[in-house]
Amino acid sequence: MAANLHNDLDKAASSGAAFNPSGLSLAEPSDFFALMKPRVMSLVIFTAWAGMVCAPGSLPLWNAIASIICIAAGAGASGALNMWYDADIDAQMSRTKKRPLPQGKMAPRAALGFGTAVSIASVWMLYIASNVIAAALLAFTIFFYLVIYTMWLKRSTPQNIVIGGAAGAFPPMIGWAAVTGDITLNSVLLFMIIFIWTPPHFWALALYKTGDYEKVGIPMMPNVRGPKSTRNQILAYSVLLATIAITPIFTGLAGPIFALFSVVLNMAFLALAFKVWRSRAGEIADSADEASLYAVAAGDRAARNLFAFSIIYLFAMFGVLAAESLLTRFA
Amino acid sequence: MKEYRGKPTKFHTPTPEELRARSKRNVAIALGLALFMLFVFVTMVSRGIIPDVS
Repeated sequence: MAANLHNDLDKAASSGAAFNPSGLSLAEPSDFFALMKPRVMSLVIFTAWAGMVCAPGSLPLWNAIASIICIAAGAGASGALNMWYDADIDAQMSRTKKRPLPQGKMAPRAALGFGTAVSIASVWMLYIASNVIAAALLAFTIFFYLVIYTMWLKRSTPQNIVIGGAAGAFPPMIGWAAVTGDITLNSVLLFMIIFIWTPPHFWALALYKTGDYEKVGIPMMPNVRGPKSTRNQILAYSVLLATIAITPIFTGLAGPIFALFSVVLNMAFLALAFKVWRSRAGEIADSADEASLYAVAAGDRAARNLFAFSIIYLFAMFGVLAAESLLTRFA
Repeated sequence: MKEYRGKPTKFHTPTPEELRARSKRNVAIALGLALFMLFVFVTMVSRGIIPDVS
C-alpha cells in the first residue's frame, strides 16, 4: 500500500501534476489568474484598445468594453494553454519555475480545461459583441499561439519568436476589426509594428537569459547562432522597425504629433540597439538573480536596457497613436 | 442491490489548506459564472439580440 502511494507520488512529481493524497488541489483563484500571464494581457488590452480607437467609425461603449474583455480573455486563455503545454520546460527555467504548474499547485489538465473553456467563451462572446471577422481573428490568434508557436516553432527553430511574434501582433488588428468588420492596410500596419518589434524585444532578453533557454533545449537565437549574430539581427530589426513605425504618417493613420513622438522613440530605440550591437551582451555567464527579468551582469546591461525600453516604446507608440486619433476626433 | 466495485474504501482527510483552496475556488467559480451570465445578457441586449423592454 505504502509502496503504491510512493509510486503514485513519484509519477505525479515526474509528470509535474499536482498530487495530494486527498485528491484536492491547492490551486487558488489567483493561480488561475497567473496562468493568463497578466503582464502580457495588459499589453494586449492596451494595443487592442488603441486599434479600436484608431479605426474609422465607432462601436457602442458597452460593445467596445465587451470586445476588449473578450480579446484580453482570449489572450489569457492562450497563455494558460501555453503553460499547460510548456509545464515541463517551465519547471527548469529560473524565469518560469514559479508558475502554478511547475510549483505543483494544480494538475496540467486543470490548466488545459481552463484555457479551452475561456478560449471558446471569449471567441463566441467577441462574435456577439462585435462581428465575425474580429472573432475569427481572435480564434486564429489563439490557434497560432498554441499550435504554430508553442507546439511547433518554439522547440524547433531559432526563428520561433520571429514567426510566433505574429500571435502577439494580432490584438490591435482584432480591435480594429471589431469596429470596422474588415482588415485594411492601416490595421496591417499596426500588426507590423508589433510583429517587427518582437524580435529585438525578445532577443534582448534572450541575450542575458541564454543559459535558461539552453538548459531546456529551446533554440533561441543567442544559443544557436551565437550572441554576435543575435546582436547584428537586433540592430537590423531595429532599423526595419524604425522604418515601419514611421509609415502610419504616410497612410493617413497618424499625424504630426505621432510623427514627432515616433522619431524620438525610434531614435532612442535605435541608439539602445546600437549599444547592444557594440556590447558583448550574451557572452557573459547569467545574472546572479536568475529569477529576475531585469537583474544582469555588467556586460549585459545594454541588452537589459533595450529590453526594458522596448516595453515602454510599444506602450508609448500605441498610446500616442490613440491619443492623436482621439484628439482629431473630438477637436 | 448496491454496487460497491471500484469504489474507494480508504479515504484521506483533506488538509485545512486544501479545504481553504477549494472553498476559494468554489466562490470564484460561482462569481465567475454569475458575471459571465450578466456579461452575455447585457451584450445581447446591447446588440438587440434580446430586445430591451425597459
